[in-house]
Amino acid sequence: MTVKTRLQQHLQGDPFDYDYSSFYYSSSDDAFTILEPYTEWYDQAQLRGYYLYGQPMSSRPMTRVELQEKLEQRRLNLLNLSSYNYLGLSYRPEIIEAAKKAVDRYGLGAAGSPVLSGTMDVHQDLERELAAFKGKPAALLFPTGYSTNVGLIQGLMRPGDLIVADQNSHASVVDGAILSKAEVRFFRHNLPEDLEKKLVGTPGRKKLVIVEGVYSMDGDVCRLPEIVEIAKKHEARIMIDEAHSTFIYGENGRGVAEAFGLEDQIDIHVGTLSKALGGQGGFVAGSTSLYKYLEGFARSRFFSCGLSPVVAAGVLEALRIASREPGLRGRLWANVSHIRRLLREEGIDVGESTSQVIPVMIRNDRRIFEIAHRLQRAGLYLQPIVYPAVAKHRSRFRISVSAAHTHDQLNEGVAILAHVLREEGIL
Amino acid sequence: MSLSENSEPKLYHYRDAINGFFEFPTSNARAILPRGLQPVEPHHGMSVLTVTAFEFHDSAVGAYREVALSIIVSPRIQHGDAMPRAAMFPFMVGTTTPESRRHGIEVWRLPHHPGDLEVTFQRREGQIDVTAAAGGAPILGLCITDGGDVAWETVEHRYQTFMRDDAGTYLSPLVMSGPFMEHEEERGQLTLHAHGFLNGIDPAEVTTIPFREQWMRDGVEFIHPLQTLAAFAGR
Repeated sequence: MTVKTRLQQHLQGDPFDYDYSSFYYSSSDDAFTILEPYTEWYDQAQLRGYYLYGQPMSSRPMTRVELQEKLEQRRLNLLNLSSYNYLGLSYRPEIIEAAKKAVDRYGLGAAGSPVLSGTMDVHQDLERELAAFKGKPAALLFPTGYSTNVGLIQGLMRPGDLIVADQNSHASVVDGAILSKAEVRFFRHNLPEDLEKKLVGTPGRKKLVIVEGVYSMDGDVCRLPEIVEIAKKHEARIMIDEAHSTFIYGENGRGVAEAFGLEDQIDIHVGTLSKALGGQGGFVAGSTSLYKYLEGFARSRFFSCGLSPVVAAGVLEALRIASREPGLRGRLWANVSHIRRLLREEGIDVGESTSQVIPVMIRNDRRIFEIAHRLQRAGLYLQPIVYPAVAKHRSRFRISVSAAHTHDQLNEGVAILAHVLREEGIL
Repeated sequence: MSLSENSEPKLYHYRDAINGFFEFPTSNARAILPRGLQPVEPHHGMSVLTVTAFEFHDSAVGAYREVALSIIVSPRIQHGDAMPRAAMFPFMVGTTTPESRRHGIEVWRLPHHPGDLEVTFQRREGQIDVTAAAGGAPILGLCITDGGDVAWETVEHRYQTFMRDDAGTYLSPLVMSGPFMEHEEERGQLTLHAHGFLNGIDPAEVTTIPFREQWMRDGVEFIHPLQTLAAFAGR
């Protein structure tokens, strides 16, 4: 029986009538019953465009990359507008050299939990310098950005407490909230007035308001002044996840909170080391007492192996470069202005973005895969983003601008994009 | 009518079928659902209430209008069965004729409001407004929009419906076919009034703007015979 025939037998329709969310919940007598219909859908969805996800890269995530196309196993050389690496640091020679020295000195891994044998001097150096960079007494290192939010929220909040988070919060915020067993309320995206509604009638409860500096799917900036005012009024603690804004926003690159002059009003600052710094890991910056408490109660850190010292050494060098070369941020913002102007001139819809994360709105969950395929064949590496990562029919491509892009490369990228969108009737 | 008499699929032709998805607390959903049915959560702690309105112009019980409140639940997947697009548990239905009400209770074991409802459909450019009332007392107002430039497509969507009455819990596959549109542009609106029809729902806890709006025109609802589910019997 062909894949298509089996798919039609189970799914009775077009694979685009289904998506990942269709296979998340199911009830049957056997946990494995869902595997077969899911696999059949997955195989068909791959052929229809899902192959574009997770294609193996065989080069550094530079502005041009080598990619192995999954569909026909072709090797492609593409202009890269997909990788985070906002400051273009992941492949800087000084950082690679620092990592090489670290692997010679420490070996590959930390070989233990950070609370047992997995803390090395390079981890402590990194924590100290992160704290100094953020202007906070302490910074606690986590092995990934995901585990940072999960461990922080689970480590701090308890059943009976209240977490009020923006509805577009990252999955790590949601998962941390679930693990904490606190009550969770989501307020409408970036709407302080809805946050206020969610906080009304909660006096005497331990409360945490969670926002992000820059939201990763829309590239819009948090309305922090109003959110801080409302959270303070209701005596809630405030956590800001600056995964996409640390090292990018603010006079010193400390993030959106610095840009708004509100750093001291925020109780917990979260950042990642995988976006602007091009490495891996995350951190929580705040008081020394917060550091100590999370060290003991953030289970995602406590029960994980420590961040590889090789990565820690590379990230430490990246942090030093980002701190001493503010021109990198200047170059990034010049690139952002340049590509925005080009996109505007072409009449391309970029939604509400004001940051280096720029959605190209397609608003058609079916056609976006065909358009992505054509873009890739035309030499541009851009990822389609569809439901459930974003709302139905708010599908988009997400451009990640880097300081390493040249204006010629951005010109080329927008020209390819505009050409394909025009041929597809989107423009 | 016994289940054995309900052995043939039933067809219901409609002019419009509209549906809005609204978030409400999972604690509220669990209080309504039979044991064994799991609410689908778009956000942790929040389940999905759907408010559906049909205008049927041809069925075994003639023309009538219907409003239903349902909770989106996990579908029941069995080896070899077709994969449904979604599953729901309707916990209150209201219709405009005694025949349709009796039919819904006897054939489909659905909980119905005991009297006729007054259901209005008002069609305007790009949207449809439905109101439901009982004896002049307002129950709800639902506005569903076409989402602007969202394309209409002719589809055949497969769903599962779970039902429960005093004798047990049942599953019925159903197929909706016809021109279809859905979007998440958040342009619609729901107004719920305090009324017994809400059957355990606190209107203050339900969002008023649908996060998803669905609309089918000139289509057919095809409902398969009930299957008894021993595993979900009781609460």
